[in-house]
Amino acid sequence: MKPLDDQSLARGCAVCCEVATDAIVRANQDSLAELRRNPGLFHGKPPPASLLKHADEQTVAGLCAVYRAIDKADWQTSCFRDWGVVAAPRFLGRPAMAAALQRFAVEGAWGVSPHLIPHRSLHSLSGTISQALKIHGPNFGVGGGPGATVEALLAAAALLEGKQLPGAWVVLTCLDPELPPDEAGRMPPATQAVGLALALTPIRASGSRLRLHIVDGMPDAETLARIEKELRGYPSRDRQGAVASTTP
Amino acid sequence: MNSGNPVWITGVGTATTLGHTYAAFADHLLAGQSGIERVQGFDVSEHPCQIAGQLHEVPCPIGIDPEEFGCLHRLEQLMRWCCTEALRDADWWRRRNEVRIGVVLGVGAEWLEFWESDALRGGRRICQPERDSESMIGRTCHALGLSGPAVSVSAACASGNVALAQARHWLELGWVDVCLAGACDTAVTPMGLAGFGNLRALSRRNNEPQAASRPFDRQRDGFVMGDGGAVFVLEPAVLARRRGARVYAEVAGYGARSDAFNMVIPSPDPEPAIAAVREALQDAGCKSEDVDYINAHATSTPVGDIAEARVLTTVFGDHVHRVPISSTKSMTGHLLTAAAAVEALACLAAMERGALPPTINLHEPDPECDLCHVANEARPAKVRVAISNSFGFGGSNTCLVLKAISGLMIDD
Repeated sequence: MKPLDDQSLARGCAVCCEVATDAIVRANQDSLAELRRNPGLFHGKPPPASLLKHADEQTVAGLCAVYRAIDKADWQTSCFRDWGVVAAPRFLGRPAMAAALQRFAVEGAWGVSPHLIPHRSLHSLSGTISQALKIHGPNFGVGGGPGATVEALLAAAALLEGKQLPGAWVVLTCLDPELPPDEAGRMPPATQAVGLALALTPIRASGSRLRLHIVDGMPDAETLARIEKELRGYPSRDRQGAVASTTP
Repeated sequence: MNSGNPVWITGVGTATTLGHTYAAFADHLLAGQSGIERVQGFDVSEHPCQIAGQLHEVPCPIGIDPEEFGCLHRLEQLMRWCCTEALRDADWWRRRNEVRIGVVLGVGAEWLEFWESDALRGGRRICQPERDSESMIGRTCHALGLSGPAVSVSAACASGNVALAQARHWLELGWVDVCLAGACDTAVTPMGLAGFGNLRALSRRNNEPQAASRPFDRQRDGFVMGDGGAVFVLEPAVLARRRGARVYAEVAGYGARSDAFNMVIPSPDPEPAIAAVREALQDAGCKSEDVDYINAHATSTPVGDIAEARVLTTVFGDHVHRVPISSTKSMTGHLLTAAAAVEALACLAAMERGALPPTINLHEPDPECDLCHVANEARPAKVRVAISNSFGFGGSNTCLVLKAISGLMIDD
């Protein structure tokens, strides 16, 4: 779909940001228990013990991925106060909701945990990360189902471009493989909770290892050539790029 | 940051307990009507809170097969109704294939609500992940024939403001020509009502449903849940002017900060919320004295209403006693994910009708909420600048600034 042919309307602006650090965490039910107690350190300290007590498995994996990414970038003493958080869980809360439905069927209203909704809503992951890292910039959840990756990257890129934040954490989580939970609300043994954390920042003058370009529609030849030229400047082992189109 | 290319609201679609059209909503809002009643449709005898603002039926949009519509989850019905009506209202419906229309909708717990409703009908979708192939927003876009980017967002109660801000920015970036933005929620379900009730967040004034939601009142004891949604059509002012569109208001400013404190309890530190309101005013190029009306977040909780009063007193100083404020949650209940969107609609009603919506049930204002209340009855007033606060679970503090467009208001 082409934009309206009107010179007074903004043409599609490309947004380019840097992936300053990244990490991925995969955890099965057994390892999640330990990660829930010890997800990682920031400023040399663990988060409050209560932070992950009622959190979803995906939230635990997502926060752990953020801590790993911080370690990878040697950011233990950094401040993320003015950063933003965009988090995209996928079918958050399936195991817990399965257990909650069972309990509701047996016990009625009194059996519904007050922790169910606050910790299994689309904003729960981003809210928890903002608490753990003392992030006071905007935080919100995105997607919640299939295709959330593109939604999250679009939302985060727009956030960086518009609000001129120093950075934004983008955290994507899922259960893999997505299998039916058991009636006790446990993930099947074969399933892992997966968290991928990306730290997006405005482009620095040099030294960026991974960049994200978002362009309007399919990139034209000039844009592609420019991206290719940038990529050629990197050692082949580090040559990575991602181009996401805003139109399907 | 405001880029200098104004973004205007040119269409509205809504469904609430106060009406399923903008006009009906505005009429009932300014009449001080309550949409709260005793919950119907499921047994609440064991629920701590037994009242809510329920949306019993969502109208089927013209041109959509009623039988097919009736098979959709209520939340998806609400999304389709609000999006379709907004496009019709903006006169984009028949031309929707000529432009890139994006969609940003606040949707907070789509899958929890879907799995619950399926289970209560005897289904087992929660244990059939292979069938969960598409989100409601995706299906809505396909059904409406919209091909621009689409995003579901959630910042709890602040979702609608987040959606409007995101949509405004997509327009500024030129990623879309027109954008639908808003939020919908149908959280008044057996488990939703039970969960918030067990959190002790809800009013237990079950014998007086219409008196239960009483923000800023000394006798408040918690919020009352409500269903509903509002979706707006946003487009660049230059486009709206060129096609002679009817205009509601400008999305002039936005501010957002996080508490980083707790998932359900507002932070005792008011600074993030103060910063959000200040950022919104700065973004809109407004001073606090320019504000003609504040639509408060105030949910009728003992702690939250006081916290907001302190934030506003800090931001507005002495002027806080002169700028009228009301919480329309007193009439609609708390629409959770949809709250901010419906409250933006209330601001539009104030501008268009030249009248301030009231906080009903405000008989004994809490002395710790010493504000310029519009108590119990609407009041005539010219509203050029309105702000809408929304402070959500998860610590999202947002403020939206709407400005009237001189000479182009919908009654001109």
